[in-house]
Amino acid sequence: MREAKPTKPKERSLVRPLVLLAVVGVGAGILLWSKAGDAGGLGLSLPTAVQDFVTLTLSIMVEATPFVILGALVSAAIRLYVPTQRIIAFLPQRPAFRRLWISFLGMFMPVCECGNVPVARGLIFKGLSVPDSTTFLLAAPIINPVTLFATSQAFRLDSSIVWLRLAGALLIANLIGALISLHKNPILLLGKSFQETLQAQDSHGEHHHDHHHGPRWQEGIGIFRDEVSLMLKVLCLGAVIAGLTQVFVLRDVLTSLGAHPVYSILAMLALAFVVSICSNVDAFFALAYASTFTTGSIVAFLVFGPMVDIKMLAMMRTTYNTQLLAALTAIVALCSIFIGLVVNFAL
Amino acid sequence: MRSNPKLVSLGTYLAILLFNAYALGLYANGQLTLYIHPRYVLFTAVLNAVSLLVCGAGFVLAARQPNPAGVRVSWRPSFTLVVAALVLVAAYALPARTLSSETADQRSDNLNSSEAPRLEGSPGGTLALFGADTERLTIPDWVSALNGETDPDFYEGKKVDVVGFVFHPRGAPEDVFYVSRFRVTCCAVDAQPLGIPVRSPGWKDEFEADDWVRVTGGFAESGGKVSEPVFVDPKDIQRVEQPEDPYVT
Repeated sequence: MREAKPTKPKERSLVRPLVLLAVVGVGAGILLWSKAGDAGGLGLSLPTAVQDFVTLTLSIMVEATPFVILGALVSAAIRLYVPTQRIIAFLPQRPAFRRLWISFLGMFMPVCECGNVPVARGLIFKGLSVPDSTTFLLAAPIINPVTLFATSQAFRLDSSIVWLRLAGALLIANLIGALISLHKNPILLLGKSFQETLQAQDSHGEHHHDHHHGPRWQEGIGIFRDEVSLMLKVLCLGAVIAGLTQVFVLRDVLTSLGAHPVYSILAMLALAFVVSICSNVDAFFALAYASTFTTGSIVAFLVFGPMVDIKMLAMMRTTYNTQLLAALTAIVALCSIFIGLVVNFAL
Repeated sequence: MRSNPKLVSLGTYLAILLFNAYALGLYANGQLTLYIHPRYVLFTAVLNAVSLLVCGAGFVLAARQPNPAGVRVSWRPSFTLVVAALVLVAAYALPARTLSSETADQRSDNLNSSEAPRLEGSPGGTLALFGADTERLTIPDWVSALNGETDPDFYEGKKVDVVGFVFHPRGAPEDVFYVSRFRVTCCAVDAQPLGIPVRSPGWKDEFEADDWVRVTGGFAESGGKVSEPVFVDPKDIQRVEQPEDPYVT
């Protein structure tokens, strides 16, 4: 793709030191860590609040990383090995109907939300439109077998929550897709750097892997490496912010609002935004609040959390521009509040 | 501060490799469970190994090319890369630790929340075990029992033997501490504090918050001093090492 320029001899001289650096770095890392594990660290000790902040941040990183890696593998496959364009062409032509179909693509790919960002990017690369891919990105973390199974397990006593969650996700994901499709040129809603990367691909044309680019496996490795490194970098930022808010924002400020039919919904949305928990297991987390919080607020939490939270916004920023993310956050939040209110007052 | 874009992206790739190595190091030391639920341990180890191999190859490929493929890079180390580097430094330099009682306190609204999931067996199932050896019951078992059965007489003559950390929630009586564990459903982020109240006047002279202890003894009626119907009337409180699996699931 973009590595078309011939390799200059001058640059070659960099190769060996850098490879050496990588080997030394990784080797040192493993050594350092195995030593640290036995001896209880380097003996550094921090105030407990700071130590807990580090533990929480690393916990988000360690938990989300394998899903990001899996998502990047799928993304590379979509871009190189799977006949993605033929699958896209197979989808219904009418946009609204097509997006409804796309909402269910997550059934075949049970990755949680952070893994879906690289997948959605891969789909855009292969020509899926921006509204369609956004619908996928919002729907797939909820409408997938793992999430739905976990939700039904957690709320065994109240099976309606699973259906409400599914319906809410369908509604919001399709609404956002429809709204984006009203834009004259949705490509402009993408982030600058992602737009540039897309243009760079287009200018190289369709048959880029036939000649003048390295073999396909090299291209696959490159895509995987770039997706993982981009996503993990922003995940770090998201994890740090989420860790900070977890340690320093008192939860009982939020949970004292649990019984109020309106405030409880706002509190659960704020909680979902702050904890940035993975959609595959957030039902178990929500269950701990089910005794003190209204049902509507629990449903709002389950719908809102996988679509918008601190970690997801950081990751989506790689792909979409700020205006779109602000609008998306506002609409998803309003819809979730609406769904919560309907559950609290009408059901 | 102008820098070579190629070095910036190589730095990013190196950071990924170091993070993968860190996660695998945790796996090798059996410390992944300090951060995530045991069911994710193998998944995490395997995918980090895959990433280490593939990104390692990707690093070498990038080092051999004049202009790295893929994502555009900025002309100076981006803010996010600096944050990532700091996280890595913290990961390597600090000891792996469990969450502390400070976080338990921060989440004390959630302490022993009654609808917390018991995947294996309902509260009723736990109570059914009571005919047998109650000293084998764990902190989550007792919490589930205390939530389900509020008659103090029920606990008369029952024996308790549990290991947990010392936690004194805000507002709890001075002579009471909770012998506690965190329950993790996904990762430390969702850790929920669970604990059994122990009445031991003067516990503060011997123990500090976050000390790991083994508490043995029977029960005494709490008379409304705490929200649980009874508290542990300890026969013995011993300081112990932090268990290998500090969280419960």
